[in-house]
Amino acid sequence: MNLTKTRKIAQVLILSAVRARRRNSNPVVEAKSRLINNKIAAVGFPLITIATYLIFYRGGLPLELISSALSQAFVFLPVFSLFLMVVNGLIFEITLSEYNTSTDIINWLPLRASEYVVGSTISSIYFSLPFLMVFYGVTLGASAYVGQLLIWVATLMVSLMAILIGGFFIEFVRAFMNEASSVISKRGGRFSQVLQLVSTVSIIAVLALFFNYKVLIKVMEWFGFTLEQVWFIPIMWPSMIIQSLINQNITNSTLYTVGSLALMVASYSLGSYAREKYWVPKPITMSIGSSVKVRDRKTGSLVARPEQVIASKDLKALFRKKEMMTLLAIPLMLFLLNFINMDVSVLWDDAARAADRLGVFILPGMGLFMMSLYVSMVSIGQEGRGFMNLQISPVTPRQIILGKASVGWMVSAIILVGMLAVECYFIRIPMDAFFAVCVIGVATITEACCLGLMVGSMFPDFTEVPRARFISSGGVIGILGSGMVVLVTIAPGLLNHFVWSNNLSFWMTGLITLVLAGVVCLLSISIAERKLKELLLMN
Amino acid sequence: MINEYAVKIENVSKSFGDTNAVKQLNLNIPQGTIYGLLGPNGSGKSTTMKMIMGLLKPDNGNIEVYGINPQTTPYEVKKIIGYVPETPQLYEFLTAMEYLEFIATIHELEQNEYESKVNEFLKAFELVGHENEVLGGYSHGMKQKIAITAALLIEPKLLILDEPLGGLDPKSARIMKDLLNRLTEEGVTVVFSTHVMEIAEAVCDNVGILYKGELLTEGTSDQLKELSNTPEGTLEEAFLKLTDSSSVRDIVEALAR
Repeated sequence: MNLTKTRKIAQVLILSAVRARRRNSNPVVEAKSRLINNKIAAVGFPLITIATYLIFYRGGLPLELISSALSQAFVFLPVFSLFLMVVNGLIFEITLSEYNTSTDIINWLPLRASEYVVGSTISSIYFSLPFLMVFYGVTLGASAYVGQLLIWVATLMVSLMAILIGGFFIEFVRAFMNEASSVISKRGGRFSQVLQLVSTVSIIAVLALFFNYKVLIKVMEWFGFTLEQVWFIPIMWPSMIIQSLINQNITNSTLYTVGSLALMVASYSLGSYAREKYWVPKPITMSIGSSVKVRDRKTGSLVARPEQVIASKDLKALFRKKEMMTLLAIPLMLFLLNFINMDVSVLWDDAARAADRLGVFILPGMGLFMMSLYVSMVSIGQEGRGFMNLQISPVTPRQIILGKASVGWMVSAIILVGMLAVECYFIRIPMDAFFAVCVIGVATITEACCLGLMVGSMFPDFTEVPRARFISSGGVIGILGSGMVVLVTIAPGLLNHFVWSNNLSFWMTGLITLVLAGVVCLLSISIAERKLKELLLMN
Repeated sequence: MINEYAVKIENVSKSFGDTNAVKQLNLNIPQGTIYGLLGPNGSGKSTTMKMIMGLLKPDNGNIEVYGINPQTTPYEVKKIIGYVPETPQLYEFLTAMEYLEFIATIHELEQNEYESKVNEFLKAFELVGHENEVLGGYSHGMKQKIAITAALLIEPKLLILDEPLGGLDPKSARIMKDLLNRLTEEGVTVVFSTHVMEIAEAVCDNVGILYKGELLTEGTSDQLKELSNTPEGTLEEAFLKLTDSSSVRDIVEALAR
C-alpha cells in the first residue's frame, strides 16, 4: 500500500465533500474552503477536557459516582465509535444523489482498492472528528479527575481499532449497496422503487433514534449490566476488551483483543474485496413500465393539464430521488420518537383524559407539518439543472406553483387521514372537537405547503451535490418564520382551550383558523409566484 | 403583416458584471433557413440564443421572434421554440418516455399526435428498448438524442440548437443534418451554434461570426470565404482568418517543441 497515494485520496475525498457542502456561486470563494474539522478537534479537545475537569472539580460530585459512570462510558465508547462510523457512512450513502456518485476518475487511476478503502475510511473519520472530540474530551477530563487515565488511554486505543472496523465495514456495505441497488433496479422495476423507498425511510428513521438521548441512556444501562451476555456478537468485542480490563480479567481481555484485531483485518479484507470486485460504480438502469396517463377533463383525450403533469413529475421525484425520500422519513421518525419519549399506554387507558390521548399525536402532527413544509420548500431547488425544462416550456409561474403545492399537500393529506382515523379510534372526543382537530390539520398542511413554496422560491439552491440541501442558508429563517406563522394560525384553538377555558365553541375557533390560514396561503402564493417569475429568467 | 424574418435582433447588448457578453448586436434571420452562429468560446453565442428564447433579458435593444417579443411575452415565444442546450438538462429520475410525455403535455399535444412521432425518433436514434429506463443511466449521447427528440416533438417554428451534434454517433449526426434540411423545407427556422466548421459549411444557409460579443460578419459560406480572401479554402480557414486566429500554426509549433 502506497501511503502517499492513500493520504492524497483521503484528502481529495474530504475536500470534495467539504466543497460540495459549502457550494458557492463564486468558484474562487469555493476553492478557499479549507478542512476545519481537524483544527476544531485540535482546539476543542483540550478545551473540553479542561472544562470537564474543572466542572467536576468544582461540582463536588462523589468520586464513586463519577467513577461508576465513567466505567460505563469506557465500555460504551468503543462500540459507540464503531456505530458512529457505520451510521455516518450509511447516512452519507443514503442521502447521496444517485446521479452524483461520480467517482469515475478513480477507475482509471493507478490506485489499489485497498488504498481507496483506507483513504475513504480516513475521510469518514475526519467527518466524525467533532463527535469523537466531545466524547473523548469529556471522558479524559473526568478520568483525570478520578485518576483513571490509564484506562482512558486503553479505551482510546481500542476505540481507534473499533473506528477502523466500522470504517472498513462500511466500505464493504457501500460497495455492496451500489451493486445490489443496480441489480435490484434492473430486475425489479416498480417493486425496486418501493423496496428502496421503504428501506430508505426505515433506515433513516431508525438511525435518527440512535442519536436520541433516551435511547443512548437505555443502551448505556444495558451495557453496564448485560454486555457479557452478548459476547458472541463480534462488533461488541472491542467494548468487551474494556469491560474485561475493568474487571481485571486479563485472559478475556487478551482473547477479545485478538478477536477484535482479527475482526479489523477481516473487515479490511472484506472492504477491499468488495471495492475491487465492484470497482466501477454501476450506472442506474432502472426500468419502469409506462406510466398511467391523466385523462383531460375537457377533451377526454389522454392529455394532462400542465399543473397535473408537473405534480406527477414531482411525485416521481419524491419517490425516486434518494435525497427526497428522506423527507418522507420525518413523520415516521417523530412517530417512533413519540413511542420512546411518551407514555403511549394512555391510548388504551379508558380512564385517561381525551387531552392526554390527543397529546400522543402532537409530535407526529409536528412531523407531518415539517414534512409538508420541507417537501414544498425543496420542490423548486430539487429541480436542479432540470429547472431549464420549466424555463423553456410554456408554463406560467402559477401553473408551476399549483403543480408543486399539490404534491406536498396530497402526500400530507393521505398521512393526515390515516392519523385522524387512528385518533378517531383511540380518542372518543365530541364531534365539534374532532372538527377543530380536522380543521387544524388541514389548515396546517395547506399553510405549510404554501409557506414552503414561498421560502423555496425565495431561497432556492439548484446545485446538485451529495447531500443537496435544495434551499440556501437563508431558508433557515424562512423555516422558523413559517413555524411562527402556523403557530399564530392555530393559536385560537390553543388559546381557547388553555387560556379562555373553552369560552368559544370549537366551530368558532376552527372558523377563525380557516380564515387566518386562507390569508396566509394567498399571501405566500402571491410572493412565490413573483419570485418564480424572476427565477424563470436566467439573469 | 407577414414577418419576413423569424428572428430580428436590433442593437442588443448584454453584460454580466464587467464582462460584455454581447455588444450592439444586429441580426436578421429569414424564415425557413438554417442560420449558423459561429465563434470561439465566450464569443456570446449561447447568450444570444438564450436571449432569443427569453431566458435572458437584454440590457438594451430589441428582439422579436416571429413578431413576438420574448421579454414581454415569453410564454407565447416558448410555445413555438424548440431548444437543445449544449449539455442536455433532463429530469434524470424520469424514464425517457415519461420525460417526453411531460414535454408533450406541457406543450398541450394530444397523445395520438406525439406518440407515433416519439416512436419514430426512438427508432431513428436507436433508443428502442431503452425508453422505459431512467435517464440518469443514459450516456451523454443518448441524453442528447432525447433532448433533440423533445425539441422536435413539439413541432417548433424556430429550432435553437446549441452545439447539437456533440456526443452524437455518426449515423445520428447524419440523420440530424438531413432532418434539419427537411425541416427548413417545411418552413421551420433553425438557429444553431457549432465549433465544427465542416458541419456549418454543409448545413447552414447563412452563418454569422460572433467574436468577443460582436457580429464580425455574416453571409453564406462562399461570401465569408471571399471576404477573408480564401475563396478556394474552407470555412474553417476563413473563420480563423476573420477571428484573428492566424497564429494557430505558431502555437502548434511551440507546443510540439
